[in-house]
Amino acid sequence: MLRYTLRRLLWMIPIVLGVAILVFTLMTFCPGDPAQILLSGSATDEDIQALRDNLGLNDPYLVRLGNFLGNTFLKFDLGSSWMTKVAIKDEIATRLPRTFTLGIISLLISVAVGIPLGIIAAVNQGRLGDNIATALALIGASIPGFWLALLLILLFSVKLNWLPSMGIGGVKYYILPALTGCTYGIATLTRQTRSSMLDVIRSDYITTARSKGVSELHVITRHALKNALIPIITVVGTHFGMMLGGQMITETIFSIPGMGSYIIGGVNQRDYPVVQIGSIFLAIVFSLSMLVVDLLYAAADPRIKARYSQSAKRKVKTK
Amino acid sequence: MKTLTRRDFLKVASIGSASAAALLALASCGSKGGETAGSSAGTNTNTGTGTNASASTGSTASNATVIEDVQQAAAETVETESDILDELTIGMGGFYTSLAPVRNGNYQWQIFVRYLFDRVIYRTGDRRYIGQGAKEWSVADDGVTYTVELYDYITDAEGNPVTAEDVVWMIEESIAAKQKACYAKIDTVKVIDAKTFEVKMKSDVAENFEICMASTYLVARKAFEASADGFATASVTTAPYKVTEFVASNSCAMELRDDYWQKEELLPPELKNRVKKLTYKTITEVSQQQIALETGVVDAFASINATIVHSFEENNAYQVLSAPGAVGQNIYCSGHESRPIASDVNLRRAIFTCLDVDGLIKGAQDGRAEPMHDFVPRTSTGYVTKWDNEDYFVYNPEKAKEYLKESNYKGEALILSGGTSVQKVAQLIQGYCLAVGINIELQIEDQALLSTHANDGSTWDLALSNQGNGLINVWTNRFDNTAYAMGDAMSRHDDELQELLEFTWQVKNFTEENIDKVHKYIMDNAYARGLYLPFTITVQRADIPLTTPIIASSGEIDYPASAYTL
Amino acid sequence: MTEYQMKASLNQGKVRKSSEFLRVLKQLSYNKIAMFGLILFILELVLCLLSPVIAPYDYAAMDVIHMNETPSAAHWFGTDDLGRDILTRILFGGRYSITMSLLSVVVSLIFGVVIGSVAGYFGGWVDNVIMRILDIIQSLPGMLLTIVVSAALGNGYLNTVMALSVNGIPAQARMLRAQMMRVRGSEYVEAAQSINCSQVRIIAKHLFPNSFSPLIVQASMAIANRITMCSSLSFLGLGVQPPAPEWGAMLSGARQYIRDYPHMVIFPGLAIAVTVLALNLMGDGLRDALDPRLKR
Repeated sequence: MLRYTLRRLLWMIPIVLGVAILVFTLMTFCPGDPAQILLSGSATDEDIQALRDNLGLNDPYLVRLGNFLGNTFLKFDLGSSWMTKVAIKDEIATRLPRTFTLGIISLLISVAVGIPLGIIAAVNQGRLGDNIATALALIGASIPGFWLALLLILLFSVKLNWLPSMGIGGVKYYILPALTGCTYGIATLTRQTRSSMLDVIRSDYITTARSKGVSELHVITRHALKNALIPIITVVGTHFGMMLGGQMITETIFSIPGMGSYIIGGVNQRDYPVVQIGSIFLAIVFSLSMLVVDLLYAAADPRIKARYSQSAKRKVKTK
Repeated sequence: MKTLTRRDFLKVASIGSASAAALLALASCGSKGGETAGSSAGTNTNTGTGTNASASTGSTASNATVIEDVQQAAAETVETESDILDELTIGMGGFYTSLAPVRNGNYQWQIFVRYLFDRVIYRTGDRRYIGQGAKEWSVADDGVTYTVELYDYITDAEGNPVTAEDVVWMIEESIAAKQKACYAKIDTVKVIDAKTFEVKMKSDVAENFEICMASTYLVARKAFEASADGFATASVTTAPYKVTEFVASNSCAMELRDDYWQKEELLPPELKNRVKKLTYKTITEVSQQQIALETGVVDAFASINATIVHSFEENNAYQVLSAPGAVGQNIYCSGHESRPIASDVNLRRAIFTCLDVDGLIKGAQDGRAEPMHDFVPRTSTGYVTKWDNEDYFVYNPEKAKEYLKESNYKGEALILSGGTSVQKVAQLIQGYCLAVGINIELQIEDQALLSTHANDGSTWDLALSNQGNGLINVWTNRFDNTAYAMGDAMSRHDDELQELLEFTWQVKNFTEENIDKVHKYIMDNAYARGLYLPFTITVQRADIPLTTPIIASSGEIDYPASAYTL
Repeated sequence: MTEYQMKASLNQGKVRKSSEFLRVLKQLSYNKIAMFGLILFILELVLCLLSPVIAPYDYAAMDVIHMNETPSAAHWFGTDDLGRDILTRILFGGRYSITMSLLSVVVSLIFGVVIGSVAGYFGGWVDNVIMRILDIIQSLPGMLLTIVVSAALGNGYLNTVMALSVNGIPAQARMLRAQMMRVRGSEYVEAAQSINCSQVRIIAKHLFPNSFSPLIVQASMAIANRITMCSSLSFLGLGVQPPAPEWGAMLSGARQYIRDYPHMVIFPGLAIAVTVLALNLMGDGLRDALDPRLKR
């Protein structure tokens, strides 16, 4: 297990490097000259060229790529935003926790609502409970997040005045944004839970358990759910990753200064360092959470655990 | 899977749609905010009613105040007694990304900046330049050499003295950074003694020196160099307020210092400070701006988006204050030889006379703007007031069609370039032009992309932009054909205009008569036209005990400088 | 096996494939809800395709007198802030939103199939390199990747289609690769090689029927996803911008009016929700119909 984890972590290094190169290259294709945007409208051409030299924009692509990779990965010098001159390291240190918290709360709500809904649907298959649960899940998957956000603000903030509509502070500031992001997760989790529960419920060992006189609740929670966990964990993992990347809109509407608004601001102002470093960080967090998901698999299913340990010992060739 | 009966299916459909409908109904029936603030009688102040015949006020609601003439309002500013307000939270639509003093000029004229740093010279609401760090200054006979004497007891929040050396250093840093256009006009700067320095400008252009000094912040070099990021996140200030909490692009909380360097009795009315705790919050989402006011997240909103103002009028829990802004919406024509419009004055006249400015104001600004009578807004220094009573490209589609007939226009599509913020105006203009037979193709880009070719007249025929903050500023920005590689901002090389400009902007020639000549020249040639001047609108809770608002040069209320009666 | 016998078994395969197709359709038709979704979607497609004919107004026609009007007899969905008819804009907007998603799914499919097949066929270091590149693309959260690509390409119809399709390529590629590896190792292919039959033809004949079902299910879910992503891009200022009547752009342009003129926000949002719902219902039904365990 340990070897497997180590191997995965080692693999992350070239992947993150690859992400850095990918994002860097994409940004070089961006139309618009950062130097011109940074200087005021009446800057002369020589001013613009001088700033370009200063920022290294006139060097050839490979030189710039080399500098960027060297600075970021060898010297750990993450640079500063071209626009604000604030060190990117500091900004990320304050912003990443906010985005992360938002993602976790959203995930928790999705799990807390989605899995029970899925169980209800599976257990009541074909009957009213199933239909309601599935209908709710489907509607949740279809509503565009930002539309829901605006409607939720109208309802909870303005009409009922229960929750703040924007900004950061205590836990209650995260509730509406989290609700916005979790509808898609609830929908996917409900459907996934339902289908894997259905798969498992029909299987033999469940019938056996029932015939042994085990209570229905025990059957569902201990036997069925545990075995249905694998696909559910997959969905949870990918959903978390999606949320990390998809917070941009939520953060814009709710004025939350997190990673999403940071990167979107960088994209709009052609602030390359911000976009590059921000993306790398998000990619790292995403890869780490995928690793956690895979480790959870191993914890849930000993067969998978065995497979990991085996593959870490022997390299299986695909031909 | 067993077959779902029709009943099941109907159940699902009905439950689904019912819940969706319920959510929508609950949400959408809260569309009009009710009275949320306490209903203390708001005092309707009406400071300064200028005699501007053409100013359309747009609003006659009982709780709306319209300042028509900021100049006059500011001129009537007198020393007033005032209580000190404990705290105030103000919302704003733009955002401040860092506290660094050396940065581009995007927000430098916003009142916000007064609380971050003191300057050498301060520009008031009616565009007078008063000394803040500078005790006095004078100009030599050559017209370009200025000598400035500072107060000799300026200190920052850490007690560091700020001397002429620090100021000269800051000016040199600003020149090197090339972030603000005004510094390019400075030739040399040198220290004379601890409180005196000398600035030599490259040429004698009116207001240049003052703008440079008003852009120079008082910073102790020692403190700046000790800061890890050039004050970007934490500054050592010379202003009356110190920043207690700063979240970049989000909020800034400030508190009145008790160790401010300037003596209370020497502070002019515009620089007084009557609020103890001041917090600015950035809210970019327009619907959230409205909600923030209604739920009390902010006490006032500065420069609120025009489209949501009407919900606060007729609501006595709020007061609405409009003042003409500093920056107007203009359209101008390319002067590049590759574009046919550059040599076709009749086509240009046709376009300018087919636009119904009142319709533009109604459609794009919800009626909250006034028509302009020159390329430059009337809040600019040097504006000649008699222009307000003259005809300026009056809306006349028939005349426009006549001009069109006399022109060489053959029906080709003309490119209208603009940023995303002027989308609506662009679409309306397209509609008006189409009505007289001119085809317009829109080229709307985001600000970053636009800035790469905004001054390249070969890539567009018409362009929309916002200009203001001073006549000379706009002239040098737009019509000075030495400013850019291809000519002026429209890539035009009009030597006659250049001569006229270079003559008029010298300090001694900057008279109404000469300014009027420039105005007529540009108008006759239809190079550019001012469309409308948007109002700067502030909405505040009526229970803020504001008795005399002080208006800043941007049209916003300077809350700390205003007077209150508790 | 003689060539004749080979051809015979191939033909049988063909017959099986078409009866398979019919069986799937029949299975699907039993699922009332899925059929509802399918019919809804087809109805929308038809309406949008016919929009130039049936729309009451021109989608760009501004009417400064009738701005911000709520639904009425003259304007069934009301007008927006420039006086344009919202119903017309939704109809035309459907053409943007739906075709962009469909196109981007097709593009993802094509690239995914090609890349996956190449990786699966050649194996070895080619496979390794391609897989690592796909890993890299997949380690960026989806929306982020789409945004960065969209910023790099710029705004506009085709650019947005390309930006939307990048995200889906790795998933398709992986699936095709798995199928390709299965098929390549099978006996049919070895046998075909031995009688000098074109390997590629055999692979194609066996590869696609097997991949067909999972591809279709993935595709129908993906279209729904793309519509939401496309709207999100417009909402953020990338993608397609006003005056193009794309649904997300309409939502973005109307969001400041949500308090005073909620109808401007409700209708585009409903349009997106209904379309995505229909596609999801369809996709669910398809998946159930193609599931061999649920055969009747």
